[in-house]
Amino acid sequence: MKRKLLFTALLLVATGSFLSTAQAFSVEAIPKVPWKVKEETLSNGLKVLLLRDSRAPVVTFMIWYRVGARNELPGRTGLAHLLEHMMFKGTQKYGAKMFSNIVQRNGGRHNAFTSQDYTAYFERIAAAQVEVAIELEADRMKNLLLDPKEFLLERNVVQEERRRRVDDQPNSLLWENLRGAAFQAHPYGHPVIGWETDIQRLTVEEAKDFYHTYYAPNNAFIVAVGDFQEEKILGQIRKHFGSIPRGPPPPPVTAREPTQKGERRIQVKRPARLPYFAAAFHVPTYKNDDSYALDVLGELLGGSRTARLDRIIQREKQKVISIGAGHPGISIDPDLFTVYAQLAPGVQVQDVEGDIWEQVEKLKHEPPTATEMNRIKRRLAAEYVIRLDSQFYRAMSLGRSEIAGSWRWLDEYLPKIAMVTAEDVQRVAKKYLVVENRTVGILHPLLMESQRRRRMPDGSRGQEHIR
Amino acid sequence: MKPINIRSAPKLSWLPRRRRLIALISAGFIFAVWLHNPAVASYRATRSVLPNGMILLHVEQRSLPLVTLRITFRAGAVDEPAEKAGLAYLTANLMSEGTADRTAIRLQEMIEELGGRIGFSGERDTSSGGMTVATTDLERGMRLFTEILLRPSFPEKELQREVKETIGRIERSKQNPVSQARVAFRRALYGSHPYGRRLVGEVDSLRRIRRDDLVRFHREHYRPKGAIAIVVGDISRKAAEELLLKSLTGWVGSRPPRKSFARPKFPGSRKVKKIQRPVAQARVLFGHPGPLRNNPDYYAVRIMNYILGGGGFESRILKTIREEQGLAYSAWSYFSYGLQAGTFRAGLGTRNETANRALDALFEQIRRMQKEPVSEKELADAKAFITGSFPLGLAGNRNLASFYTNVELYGLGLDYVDRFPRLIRTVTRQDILRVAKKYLHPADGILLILADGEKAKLKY
Repeated sequence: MKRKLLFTALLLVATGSFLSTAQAFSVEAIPKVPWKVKEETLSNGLKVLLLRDSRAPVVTFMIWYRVGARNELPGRTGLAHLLEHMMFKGTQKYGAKMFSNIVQRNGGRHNAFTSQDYTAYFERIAAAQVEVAIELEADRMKNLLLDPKEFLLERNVVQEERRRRVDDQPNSLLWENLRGAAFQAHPYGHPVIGWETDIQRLTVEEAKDFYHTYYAPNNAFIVAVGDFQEEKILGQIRKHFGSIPRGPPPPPVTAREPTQKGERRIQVKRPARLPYFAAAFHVPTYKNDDSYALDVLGELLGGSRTARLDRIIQREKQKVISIGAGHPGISIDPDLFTVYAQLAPGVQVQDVEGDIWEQVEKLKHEPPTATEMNRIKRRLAAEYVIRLDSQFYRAMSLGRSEIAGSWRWLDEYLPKIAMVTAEDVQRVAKKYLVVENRTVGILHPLLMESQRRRRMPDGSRGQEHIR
Repeated sequence: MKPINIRSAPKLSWLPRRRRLIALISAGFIFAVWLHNPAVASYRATRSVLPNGMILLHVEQRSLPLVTLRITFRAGAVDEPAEKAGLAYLTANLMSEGTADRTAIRLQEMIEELGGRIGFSGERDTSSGGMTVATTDLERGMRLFTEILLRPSFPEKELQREVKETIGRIERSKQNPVSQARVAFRRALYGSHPYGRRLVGEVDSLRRIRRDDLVRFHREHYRPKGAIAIVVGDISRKAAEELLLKSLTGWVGSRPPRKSFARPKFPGSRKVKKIQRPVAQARVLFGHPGPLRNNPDYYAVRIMNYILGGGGFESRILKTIREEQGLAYSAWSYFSYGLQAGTFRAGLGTRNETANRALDALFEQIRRMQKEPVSEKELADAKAFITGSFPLGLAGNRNLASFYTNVELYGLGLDYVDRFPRLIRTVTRQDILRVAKKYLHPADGILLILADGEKAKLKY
């Protein structure tokens, strides 16, 4: 009941000022603590975040390791992700295929994901069975086998994953190259899945080192959201994780990206049908309050169907079939603000690029209107609440913000968004969306094999892009 | 941008969104948990029929101050003329692009100012419109939703733009080998059946669609009689009923009877269709007609396919092709249940050089299902997952709205949640063998291979 009141209070923020469009989005209405999280740290350094959700008798149980592609060295990219795959390949206690079998025969679903900043594992399982997940996660934090034969097989599986997600997807290749150009000193420039030339050279010894360096209770935390008694699940967590010894603190990532000193432009030429345009600007993390203004800026430019780029370049000029802009979301180190467009058939990149920069320049000269500001803030607040419908999303939000600093950021987000002014938006546009800070990437389609044999029936392709 | 790599396609993520909903229905739940957990009562739906013939389903969920409404019409792409393929998709997409009183952009602004979501979608068998909004804004939201639902104006300008964008999206999908293979497979499998074309239409058919066609499709098919409305969330049943009655007064009428289509046929042998393309990874799809959802063998088929290729890392296909041989990242099989036709599909992606080997393994697993009974343990594990994972799909308003809409659409009955565990538990090893023989046809289906022929040296 108490939680319902809190959510109600939060929702007032989202909806309370609808009586009049002109009425400003109000900061005062925002409650201080909508996330009723119980936080506890075991003596071995393992932090536990618990959030009750009793709508259905299920639990989302996650363990987050503070290690990702960010921690990889040159020549060993893709190691964090490959190790994530190996975590399903057996421990001393449970053999190679046991993990999935145990979770699934207990009615659970499981998976894992790796990003620049983290590697996370989760089980979604009936509340009565949650201890099964806890025991399995504790076991593989400490006792992973890392069998050499399994490693070689899994390396091939990851190569297949890369072929599917990146090598055969021209737009993904463009993004990969764009990040590589934007970051010269910082590991955010290399792909999470790894360069194809690196993956094939990774060794099981490297994976073992990586595992022993980063997989320890003091470099991880647990997020559980669902239908449980807090003391009971804490007891179960203590029982299984409590005896795992603390590890030495892992080496910090010290790389910092130097200030960019001029525009960089890259091209990717691949068989494709339509050109794709993307641009990236270095921006700070959420530790800097400019991030909230950048969030609003992203919404204003390309965050919704009424955003300026969408309205002018897609709706009016009809030069693109999709367009967007946005802040990257929460991260440990400074990441990129991006602007991107999938061109319509027959349109040239330079036409679209000019239009995009025209809209950005316009913002620098005149601030957004009060109506725009209010609409964006309402939308962000409403989306924030609607997404809470998903238990998995609640757990993801806690994990991602804890990785980047603290889950308490979730409480700060809407109040800080509410405080952003039109002048802030104009100021950050002038400060970050500048040519010197820009990396531009263009996908130039090469003729595809099928087109050599047969022209498109509609003849509407942008043939001028073919080299 | 931020490539998060998920280790496996999560169990159902390779299915299109609608198929996942259908798969959701086929999950089970733990009966004991159900009985002993008081929270479970909130899963329960009620059903009533409004005076205009619209079915109203309702689930009360008070923990978030949100209300979700969805209205599903039994009319989709199968109901459009073949020469105007894409009409159902376009009609839905253009619903919120203008009303008698408001322009497209003004409507979009109003939806954003509402602080909720309103959207329409046209699918193969159905079309639907939905809204999620704060309880306090329900009436405002309902007024806007009703305006869009009843009085769309389908402006010529917006139609032209949407057609152009859709043609652009078709172009883009051709550069993705995964969707190229899927489209070609569908065409080969279904032929002239409406399931055989793209949901979004084709370049030529889209160009033939006029504003009048949209007006007519909306007028004929977005009718209340027999439509399924579901309201989930922070609202009582009585209030939900009053809301719909009040907002939709005077909205009456039924849609014309649905045309019936000849069921897609088995090709008579294994027909191989190859697409040459210099890809890094060969794509393989195999499939043939399958049973309909109302077939009593549905439950045995569900378990059989979990063991074959639907159970992720627990399935034989993924275990052998990925875990034991390292040949693929994804490899799977599933039965889908369209209202007009059912289909069995299996597929994988592997580098060109190993396409033959992976295909051998795929067909070997299908044939093995037909030759020998599954083990007691496989059967018990499959049943435990299917019943045990059921509540996962009932958490949250969105999931509940999808679940009960499907219960109604497939005529499963509101007591389905009570009957389901028994239907799963009574399946035997002999049933599994019987349905594997009856519904799997490894030598009689469409085999589509998209690959770089020189490297793949296909023997299929």
